[in-house]
Amino acid sequence: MTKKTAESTSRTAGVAYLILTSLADGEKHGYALTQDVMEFAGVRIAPGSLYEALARLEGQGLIEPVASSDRRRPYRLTAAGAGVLDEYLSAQERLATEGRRRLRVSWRFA
Amino acid sequence: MSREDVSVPSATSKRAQGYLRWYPLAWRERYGEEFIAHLEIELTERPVSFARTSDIVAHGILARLSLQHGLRIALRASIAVVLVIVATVGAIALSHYWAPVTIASGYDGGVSGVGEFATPSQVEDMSFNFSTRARVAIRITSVKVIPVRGFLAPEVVGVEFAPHASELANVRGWPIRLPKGTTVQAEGKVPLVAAIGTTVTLSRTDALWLGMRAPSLGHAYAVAEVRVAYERRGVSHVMTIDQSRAPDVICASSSRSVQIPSWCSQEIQAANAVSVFSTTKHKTRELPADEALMVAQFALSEVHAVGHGAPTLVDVRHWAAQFFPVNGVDAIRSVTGVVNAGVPEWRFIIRMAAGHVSVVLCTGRGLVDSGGGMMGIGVESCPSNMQG
Repeated sequence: MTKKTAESTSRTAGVAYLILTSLADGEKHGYALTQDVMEFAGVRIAPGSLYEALARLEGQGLIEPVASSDRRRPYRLTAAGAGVLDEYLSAQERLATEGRRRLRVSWRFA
Repeated sequence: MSREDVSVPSATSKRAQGYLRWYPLAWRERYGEEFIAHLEIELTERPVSFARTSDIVAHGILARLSLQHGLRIALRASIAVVLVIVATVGAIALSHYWAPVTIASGYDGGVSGVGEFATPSQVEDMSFNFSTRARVAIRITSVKVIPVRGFLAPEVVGVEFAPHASELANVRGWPIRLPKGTTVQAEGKVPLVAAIGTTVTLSRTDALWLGMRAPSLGHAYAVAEVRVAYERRGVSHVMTIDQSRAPDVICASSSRSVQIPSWCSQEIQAANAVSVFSTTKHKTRELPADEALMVAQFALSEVHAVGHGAPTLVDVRHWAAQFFPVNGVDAIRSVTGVVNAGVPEWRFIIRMAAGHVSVVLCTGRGLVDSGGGMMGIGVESCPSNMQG
């Protein structure tokens, strides 16, 4: 992920990465996306926040709409979006690994 | 039937379209259809949600701000205007809070510049209105009258503070007596209080009154400045009431006439001249020739005031001592004179303030009329027989 992309994504980072994660296993339209996020993260994304994030991610080229005859337009992850998500998750993994290690050492967490 | 296949009542569709109106046109054209489709399902599933409504409205406004250039500029301009207004109001409030306390005007629209004569026991009054806009409490600690150079300072016999007393402009005498029927008296707003040591909260119309006395008969008392020392929020300040452009003069006289004695008129004229001269001198550092010329002219004026002729050496020395006493900054150390072909000439030895350098100037080469009277006067280098 470039620095510029990271900065511009940061304002809606939480919702954005939830959307990218949801789209990682295939295209979804808005409502399906919110249902999916609700299931795997327990987070309800309100419509205003959802479409603000969709518009932003689309503008950044991280997702793209898929042609559809349905009013509910599906979106899918782009290669750039997949790369951004991968980098973000890797950073989260490193953070989680380091955090776990320190908790084990200092706080005797298993 | 799945949630996604739910049939949408028209009322729900209208609500969804209502929500969409919060968004700008460009956004609606791009995302409107799918947004409505999404909302129709959400509204059917959860008809009421304050959080959802707030979320849609807030993002709709943000979308308008980010997309509509003109609106953004208008918003920024509005914010700028509000900030300027707040800053201006704040600055005014601060200036009111910190503005120095000042006194500007006395009766007759300011310093009177009018001479008066009074018996030594009679008390004359002088009043000033505060021009400050600061509504702050001050405590006047002292009032000092600075005389015009060469004149005496009147004795201050009382200092009074009068709230809302600008209407008292024409009230004279001391202690101040309010004529019956005056507006101020009718309103009962003039509780005159002794000003020294009293804490008062200033208003623009408040006044400070000085009662002054000219104790020695035959002397003129002229006020160049009134310095009022006061404390404000525990800090000492001094405000100066500058009378130098038109000093108040009180001549101590036993006369009960309504007409100002001629000697008093001359003193008033002299006080004004010295005061103006001092002010100009202070600003421009003029040459000492002006001192000599001024003394000679006043001596000549005195002669003209009573008749015809030329001033004597005594006259010139009197005015030299009056204006530039030997212990003063611009002292005229001595005046010597001769009569040269019927025209008096005087030599002034003037000590300049800077470096105490003495210079010698002569005057007296004036116009002489057929009767031997001097019409004018000038200052020039001393002729050789008067040098040294």
